Amino acid sequence: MTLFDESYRSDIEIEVFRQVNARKAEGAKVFGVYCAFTPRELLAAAGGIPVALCAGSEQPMAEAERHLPRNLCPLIKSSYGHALADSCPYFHCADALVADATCDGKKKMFELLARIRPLHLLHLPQTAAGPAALDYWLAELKGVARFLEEAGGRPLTRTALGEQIERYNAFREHKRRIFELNQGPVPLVTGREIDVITAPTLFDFDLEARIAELDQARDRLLERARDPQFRAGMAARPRILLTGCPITNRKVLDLLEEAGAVVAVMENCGGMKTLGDPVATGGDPLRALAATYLAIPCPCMSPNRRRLELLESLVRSYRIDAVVELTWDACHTYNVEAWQVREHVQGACGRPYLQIHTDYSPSDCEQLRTRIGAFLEMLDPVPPAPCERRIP
Amino acid sequence: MNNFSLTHGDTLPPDPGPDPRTWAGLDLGSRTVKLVLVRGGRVIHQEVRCHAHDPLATCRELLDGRHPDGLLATGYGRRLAQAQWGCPALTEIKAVAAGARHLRPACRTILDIGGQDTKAVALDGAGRTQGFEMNDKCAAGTGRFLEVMAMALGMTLDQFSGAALASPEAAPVNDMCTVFAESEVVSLAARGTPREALARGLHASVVRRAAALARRVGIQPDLLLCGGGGHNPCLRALLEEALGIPVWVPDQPQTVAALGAALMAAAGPGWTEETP
Repeated sequence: MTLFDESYRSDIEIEVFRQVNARKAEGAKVFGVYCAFTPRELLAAAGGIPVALCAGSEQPMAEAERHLPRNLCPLIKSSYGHALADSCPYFHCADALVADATCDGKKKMFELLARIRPLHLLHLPQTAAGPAALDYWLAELKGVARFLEEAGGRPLTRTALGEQIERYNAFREHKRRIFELNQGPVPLVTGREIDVITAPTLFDFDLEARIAELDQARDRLLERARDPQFRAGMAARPRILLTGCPITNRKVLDLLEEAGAVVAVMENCGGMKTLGDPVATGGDPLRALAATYLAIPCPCMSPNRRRLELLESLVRSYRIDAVVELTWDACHTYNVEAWQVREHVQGACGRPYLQIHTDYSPSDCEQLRTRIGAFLEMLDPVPPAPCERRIP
Repeated sequence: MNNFSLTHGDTLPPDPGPDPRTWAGLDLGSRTVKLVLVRGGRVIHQEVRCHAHDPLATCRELLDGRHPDGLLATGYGRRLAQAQWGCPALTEIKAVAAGARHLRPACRTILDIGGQDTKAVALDGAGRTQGFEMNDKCAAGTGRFLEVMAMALGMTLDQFSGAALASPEAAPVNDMCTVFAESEVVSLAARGTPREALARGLHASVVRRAAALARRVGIQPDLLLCGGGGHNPCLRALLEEALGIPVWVPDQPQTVAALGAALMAAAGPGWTEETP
């Protein structure tokens, strides 16, 4: 039943790697990024190839713990461990890094990372509200433009930035259309497939080719609407909205879908949190870019009311049965905000809510299976038919 | 944890249902396997056995010669049984809710203190699960924690619980991690803290944790305490003190989830959460 799996991802990724290496040989610069607040449009407008860096594997943790405390968020440790061990091929490829100070752990880790690659840190305001926050953020983005030029990028022009804004607006729009296949009475695509289709490569390279792939995938998925067997199978699965920390490690996404749910939509970074409104065109492109990125409903901002509003609208538009929130160990902003999310989901949205608090280690998978299983059983009170034969 | 076996246990009200078939509920826990057989709505056999790291072999021993007409598996190892016999499986949260509701129709809150897990389950007035909480991935504050601490103090579980209950004072034990708490207990004992006071302090720390879980789901009477922790009179007494409501313990606290599984096996898809 799965049309899009890891082999789909790796086929695209291998080809993109080949093309990026060819461009690098011609002198193109690769700029590595971590969090969602770094506008990829700026990096591309400077002639660079933006690339998201690995942060999802448990494997480099031990390396990272040589310098970082054990009780730190796994995403930060994984990022740093990969860089220290040079075990992330994207990091290996990156000429310079643009990082965003979304949390205290990252901010301090980036000080160490700057010893390994030239790194520019974007300082975020603590709030997205009010004109002072936008002015501050705009000045920060101007600082990135200077850094990129020093790192071998082209000087930023209004025209180049305007072009990249239009390309990325289209890219996000076509990604969003994949998610929107799940707004009908029966979802047409699993969460794991959405993950593979909307982020097959970590490089932002040849977005036009990526858009064509997204559209081809969408056409194939739409055929499922005419398959009664597929529809019956999908209709029986509870529709989950997954929210919380970035799904850098896919353990919880996999466990939810293995337990019989379908993750109909993700609100996390890379999902609807960052695929919302397009960047406005026509006015000052840098200011428009600053306004859109600053509005990302990340818990590092206070207040973060927009996240609750986004969740509520997703619960409605994706006909969600229940909300699951993933929080990684030691991610204070998401962990603390989880209580408000729980209240809002159970209250205003009227849906069951489950928080899964974990790290990248597989050691608690059995406990999580029980927790997820019990949660799904709460949604569907009818027990399975007992086997009607004598045992043993 | 002692093995026990009880045949023709008469803890359930008789049900003159015409169903002559025997239904089995099997609860594969982290330390023990529990089997309950029901026929005509009555428990006709129940048994708890330590599984010594081979739960499936223990299941086979428990089922040997019993030939139930249907089986439903629950607990940590439920998928082992599912793979072996093709039976359905449900989580212990749902199973314990069904069992608790059958034993105590007014039950709204369940605290299940098991070998590696402590769970709190909230039920609505009709018996539907409204929410649940489980301890984190380590065995802090579970039955296993108490077993290890009893050993550290050179006591059996019964002596440990009895000493704690009788002690007028509780030595504060801060660490909930089984490994760290053991060294804390050893160093407190070396400083002359009475074993009885340490035993009570350790029980109090488990109760603090269990009460916090229960408060997170919301406590409503009646509250039922089950799992191996239900055998411990000191846990019960301290829980009543901490929560301020009576704590009800069934005669066989370890088999509540297996009972729920057997009842759901018997009812099949017609099973409802409404108390009959």
